[in-house]
Amino acid sequence: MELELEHIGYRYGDALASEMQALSDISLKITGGEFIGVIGHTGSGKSTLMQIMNALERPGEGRVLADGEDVWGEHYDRRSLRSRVGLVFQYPEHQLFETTVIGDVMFGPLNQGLSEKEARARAEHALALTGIDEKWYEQSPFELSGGQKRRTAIAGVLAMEPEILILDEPTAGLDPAGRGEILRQISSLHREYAGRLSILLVSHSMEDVAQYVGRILVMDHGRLVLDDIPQRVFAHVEELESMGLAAPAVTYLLRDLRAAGIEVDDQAYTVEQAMQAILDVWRKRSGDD
Amino acid sequence: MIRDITIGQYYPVKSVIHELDPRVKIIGTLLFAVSLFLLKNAWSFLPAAILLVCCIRLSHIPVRFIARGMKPIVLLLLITAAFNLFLTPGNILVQFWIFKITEEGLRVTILTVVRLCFLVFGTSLMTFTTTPNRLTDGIESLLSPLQRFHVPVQELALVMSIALRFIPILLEETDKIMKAQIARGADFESGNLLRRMKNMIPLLVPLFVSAFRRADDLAMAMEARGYHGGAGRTKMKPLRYSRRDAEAFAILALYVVSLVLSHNIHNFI
Repeated sequence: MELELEHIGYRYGDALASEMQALSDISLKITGGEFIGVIGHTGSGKSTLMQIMNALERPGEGRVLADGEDVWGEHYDRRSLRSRVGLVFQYPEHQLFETTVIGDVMFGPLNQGLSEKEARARAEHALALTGIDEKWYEQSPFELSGGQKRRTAIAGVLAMEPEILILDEPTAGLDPAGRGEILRQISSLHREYAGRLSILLVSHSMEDVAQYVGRILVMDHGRLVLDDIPQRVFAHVEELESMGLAAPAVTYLLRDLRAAGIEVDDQAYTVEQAMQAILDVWRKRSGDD
Repeated sequence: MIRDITIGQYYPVKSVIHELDPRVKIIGTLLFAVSLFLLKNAWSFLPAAILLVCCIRLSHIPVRFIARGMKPIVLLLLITAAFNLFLTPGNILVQFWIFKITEEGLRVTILTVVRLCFLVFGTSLMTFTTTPNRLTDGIESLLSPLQRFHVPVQELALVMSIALRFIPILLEETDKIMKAQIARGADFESGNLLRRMKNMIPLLVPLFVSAFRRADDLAMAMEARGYHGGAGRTKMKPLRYSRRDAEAFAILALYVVSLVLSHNIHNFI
């Protein structure tokens, strides 16, 4: 599906009559099968933007179009939109409530109006995708480990078979092994549903984002400042730093090497690419000797 | 979704009322509330109104904002007014069908409505101008004589300040969980009462789990920092009366005198 935001603005007003512009003039378009990273400092408006994408929050200005239809139109079925645009909140394990793991994952599909049998099949598929073993199905979700809880909660949204999956800081609070595992699973999901599933990965870790995504949205103070492929985004190192963000560590290494007079390609942003770039220079030099 | 609740909120501006000692404000509010219900004479409401208006003006809080706190009790107010108006026996003023309005009824109704409005305005003025922490400090200090009778005043104050502190946190949490479940297709708005109660389970279970988790974390953090409560604990910012508080007490005393005078006003006229 195609999701388009047109000049979105959102004000956050609290009871004390003080208002804050949380988002201003954001326009972007998500087409089928993309893998997008969303980065920005705390309070940059990432989470609000994600909630606007599945119509949990109504933007004050602008339009949200799903396949060309205005989702805030009078007759638009926003409930069905929410199952097509799946949103996994930060710390999703805090929303587990059922007595069994399988029951919790079936909650979404049952709300979609599927039969018990279909819902169960979807839930089992989703749990298999997120790597939760069958022996846990009938256990209480509260007995799982932290990482397992999170994967169960992600399965709860996956089971609704969304066309766009938004993950808000899916690795927050996990240890390095858990982070790697979740990210690998998310990227294998993207491959498995080739072309049918778009993923938005919200993160503040450049490394996480750089390694997997094909497009990066950079948010700062409620504005969308950059929307480009990783290579071009990470070329704006100074700009990123002024927003309290940073480019991946390897980008800095390559820039330093260049500054030291070594003609290395400094466009690389993953460890593999950097290794390749350095090896290229190395080979060239050995060849010259 | 539930950010609109204003009861017990603090309104951060600088004013004389904000800077008063919380004990003065608590005593003053209690005195004001009790006086409202002891007053029988309509004249006596004049000093009460003057005191209230002066305090509101001094507090720099917009009247519109305080009035918003009336919203939840409008229904209660209307029902109370209706009962008083139609069910008080006495000299009949107006009569239609089974309803009759009496002179006494009208009087009682007006007094009751004024009383309730004054009460809400007065008490919300206290919470608007006092941070929860200062309020708890004030209550603790005022109740401290009860410690002689083995009432755990300090512990009660701690429980209260933790409870107050956690209201916004749990509200935010509720909002978040609600959204997350709506994202999974949950429906909190339609269906009959039983259905709606059942639909609340996906909200309530995570909320309780989270409250227990937070309580656990907090207890751990307090222990880790060596909190043991009880005797010998000192405060970083102990409460001290200032000149301004003495003035406030004097004004309260004047208020009481004026009430007594106005109560016996028929003796003077």
